Amino acid sequence: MKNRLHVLRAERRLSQATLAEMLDVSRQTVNAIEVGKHDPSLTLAFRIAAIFDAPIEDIFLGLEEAVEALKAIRESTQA
Amino acid sequence: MTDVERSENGGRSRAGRGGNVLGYLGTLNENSMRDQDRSNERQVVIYVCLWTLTLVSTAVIKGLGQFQQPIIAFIFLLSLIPAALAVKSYLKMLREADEMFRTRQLEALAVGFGAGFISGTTVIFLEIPGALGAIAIVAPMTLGFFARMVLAGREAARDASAAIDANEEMQ
Repeated sequence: MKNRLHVLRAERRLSQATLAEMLDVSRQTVNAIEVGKHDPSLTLAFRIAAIFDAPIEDIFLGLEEAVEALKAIRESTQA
Repeated sequence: MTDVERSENGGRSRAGRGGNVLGYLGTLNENSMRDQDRSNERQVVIYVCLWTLTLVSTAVIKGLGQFQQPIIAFIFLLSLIPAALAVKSYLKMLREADEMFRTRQLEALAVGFGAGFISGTTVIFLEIPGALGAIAIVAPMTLGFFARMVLAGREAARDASAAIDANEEMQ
């Protein structure tokens, strides 16, 4: 999954090791997520979003369709 | 990227070496593993070594032919204790593992199981007898597991190098 983790990390001048420590994962997990080789679990995705204070869909790209579908489901159930 | 950052990122040279045997067991460069994973992994290795030792000891004692069958059976049952502890510690390691570490472990288990299943089926159909048949099942299973581990370790090292290159290009 494509993501902006690398950019966000660079903006905050965090090393992979520091971010890994903050997320309680290995540095190579952070690296694998950044290069798109590993999709994080929901828990980890939420932790990443919390650290960067951004919505998950702004960090992990390609989720727009899923978010739209969820919104549609929510609207249809509320109607 | 500074030398410190390069070091934190595993560094091309270190990543290229791909870590040591323990690192390959976890499929991650040992230097980048969490302390908890490293400790759990060490515990598994200790129990597996202990189990192997007790199993080999049982075989040696049986080979000596100086003991009666019930005593040999009892010694064999004793070897099941470290085996059970090894399985328990492996489960603990998987449960507490970093998620990529766990994924790699499960992939390696799948490859090992697949190799063991295929070779086991072959052994049954070809009716390969005795120790040769057993080796024909255990060896592919073990080799499959460790081959996947080594490949995953190398892949992780390549990714680390790619990330360093990408960082340098950005700067």
